[in-house]
Amino acid sequence: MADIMQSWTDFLNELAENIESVGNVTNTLVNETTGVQRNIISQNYALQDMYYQRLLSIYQNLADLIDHGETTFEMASSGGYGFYRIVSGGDLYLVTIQSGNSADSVIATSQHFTIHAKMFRKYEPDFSIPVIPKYSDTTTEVYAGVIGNESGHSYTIRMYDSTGYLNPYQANVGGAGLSLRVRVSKSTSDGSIPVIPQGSNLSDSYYVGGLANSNALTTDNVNIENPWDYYNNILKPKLDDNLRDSTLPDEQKNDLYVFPNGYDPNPPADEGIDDTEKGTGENLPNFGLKLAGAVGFTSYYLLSYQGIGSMQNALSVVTNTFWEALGTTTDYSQSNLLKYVMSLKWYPIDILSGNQGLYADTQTTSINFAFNQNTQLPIQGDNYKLGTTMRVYNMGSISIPYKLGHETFLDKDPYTTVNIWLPFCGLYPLKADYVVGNTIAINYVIDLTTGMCTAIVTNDQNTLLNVTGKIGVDYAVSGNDVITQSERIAGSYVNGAMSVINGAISLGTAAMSENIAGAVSATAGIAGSIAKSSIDIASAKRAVPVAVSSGSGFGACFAPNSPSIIVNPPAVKIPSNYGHTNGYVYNQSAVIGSLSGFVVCNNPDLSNISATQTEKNEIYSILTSGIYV
Amino acid sequence: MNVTANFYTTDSDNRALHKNLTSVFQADFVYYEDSSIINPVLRLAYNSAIKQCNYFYIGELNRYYFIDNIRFNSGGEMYVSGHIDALTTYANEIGNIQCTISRYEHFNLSTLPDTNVVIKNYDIINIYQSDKSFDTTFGNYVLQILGG
Repeated sequence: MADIMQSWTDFLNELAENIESVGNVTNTLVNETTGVQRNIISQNYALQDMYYQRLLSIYQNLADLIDHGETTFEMASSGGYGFYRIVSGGDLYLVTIQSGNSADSVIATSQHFTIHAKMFRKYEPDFSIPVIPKYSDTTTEVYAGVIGNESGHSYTIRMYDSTGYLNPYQANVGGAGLSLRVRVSKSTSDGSIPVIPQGSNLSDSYYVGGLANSNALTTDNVNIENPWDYYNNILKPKLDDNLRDSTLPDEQKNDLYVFPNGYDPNPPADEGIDDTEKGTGENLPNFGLKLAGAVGFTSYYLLSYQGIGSMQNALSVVTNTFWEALGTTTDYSQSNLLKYVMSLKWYPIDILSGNQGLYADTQTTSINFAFNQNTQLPIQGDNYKLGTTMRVYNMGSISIPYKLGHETFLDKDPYTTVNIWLPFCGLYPLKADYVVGNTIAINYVIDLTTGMCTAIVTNDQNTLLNVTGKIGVDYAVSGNDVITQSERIAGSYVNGAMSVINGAISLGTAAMSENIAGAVSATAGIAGSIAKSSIDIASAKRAVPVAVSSGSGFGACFAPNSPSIIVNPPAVKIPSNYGHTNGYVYNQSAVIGSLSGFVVCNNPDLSNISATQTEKNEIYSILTSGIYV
Repeated sequence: MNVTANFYTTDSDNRALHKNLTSVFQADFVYYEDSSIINPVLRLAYNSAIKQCNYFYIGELNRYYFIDNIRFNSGGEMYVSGHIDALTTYANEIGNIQCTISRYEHFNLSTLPDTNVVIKNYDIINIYQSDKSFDTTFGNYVLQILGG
């Protein structure tokens, strides 16, 4: 483990040392183990290649662990439907389970088991633990997951296969120290393979994994030579398959930027930089960050309108057990629940599409308040529990043509001025030299924890702009008490209504009446205000017109909602005989006699001409004002 | 002292390194007062073809001249004033000069600024919009919960 940490430490240090030399794309890396955060500025393939090489090295180091089993646990059968004893203790971060009789394709009741426990952290770049994939093979090694070993507790492992119910095996150890009950049974509801979470209760049932086929995540079907291959072919499909995110014991996850997206395993050769080269638009950075961000003590839910509305309904039907689980026995008012609501924000974007992280968003039918499994509020509609708080959105690319069809000084500063409109961030100037004739990519990184967004504008070669703004619109949902909550919601209505009224005045739209009504309804009554909030918030938002404004958050919704580049080129007309009468700026060395047409010389040397001084003066004057060759 | 001059018609620009010359006549002349190698004045017998000429060459001086003016007198003589065409006179030497060419006809506008281009003070605004936009019509709600 120390080697792994050292590898990551070295990795981060090495990247940091190269900040100045490698470019302009800013990434932030957080060492999930140490918490050290560093900003990495990258620009070109050299850095990406370094990322790759270093990652590869780390992966290989991690892979070495596979072949060095840390502990072997033996589970002996007491016969039939019996108990199995785990002989030795210790944390099992990940175990491989192997049938004692490898010839049997199905685990028999009387079969003995040997559980091989190994440190196995190869496949998760964030050090989280893989889980047993669906339909793992019973005759070969499969990977089980986290098994807690809290003294005095026992845990249930359920294993499944695709062939049918297996007679349950139970292994139980009494007495002090490690107590592990292993039960082999078959049942599954959604085919997902969760692991035993840390701090699990004895009475809870957790599903460890399945046993089945060759799709198991083994060293044989993972190409460790290429982390991207692993990520794209193994890890990401697994996440997409709604498998549970695995968690290390005692692990507090932080957002982890693993490596920049867009890595090209076959980057073009570095042929040097010619200042006359321009981008083609073919190598625009994808800018997908790999965010392995869990969310610490909070959880994030993407709620539909129906989901928000159903929160109120859920609040009215929760049981005493629910409140007791929250530690409340005397006050069952709804305000207690709101203590756990940290924020409700509206975002003008499809939140789900921005997840480029390692943790998938999972559809859910309930909201889990506090940290208790029993405090789940059922919600209706299409809702999701979000896997990452940092979302990355590609907001398109824009190609700016040359004014005359080819690159000229007219496309440069100060002849041409360029500004970019970035919704929720504002209007910013760009250097025309980097924009005209280029394809500009715009990406937004949105932080769901704060509602802030960072717009990153890049061309083929550089990051041109990196600005922040506020995109999340806060809605007042407070858990302090009912009165405060209602007042805040009412205030929100008034503010929202005023915003809309102002917008309506500027536009002269008919939308005003609907929102004034919404504002009035918002202030009417306290008891129903929470439920009304979701409805009226939604209606007020839908009434947002498309007036032009500035600012951030809600106000910014009035402004154009597409990134745009505004180019102010000069107005020029080049006469058809311009070259013959003026000549184009050439600034190159040449023998006069090798040219033809109008030529203007710069400070010619006439020392080899045997003319009088008057004649030389005349020649010099003519050559520098222009001759026809 | 009689010297011979060749008279030509040329339609070339004065700034042409090599002139297109059409020979008209050849005549003997004498230098008239205040002549110089830069600005000679030739006195010669009247020739009606002189009115076609705008250029002459004096072999003795190995120089080409533009005709500046022609004057006549009652004695049947004419006075042809010239000015040196140093460019054509030294065309071969000039053609071999290697130097920095600041402007050239057979090129195009480039990234090098050209102060001779007239730029109008006229406001042009070109707006290039991304094909992707934020969804201010519906959007998404995100709830942050303690716990989970």
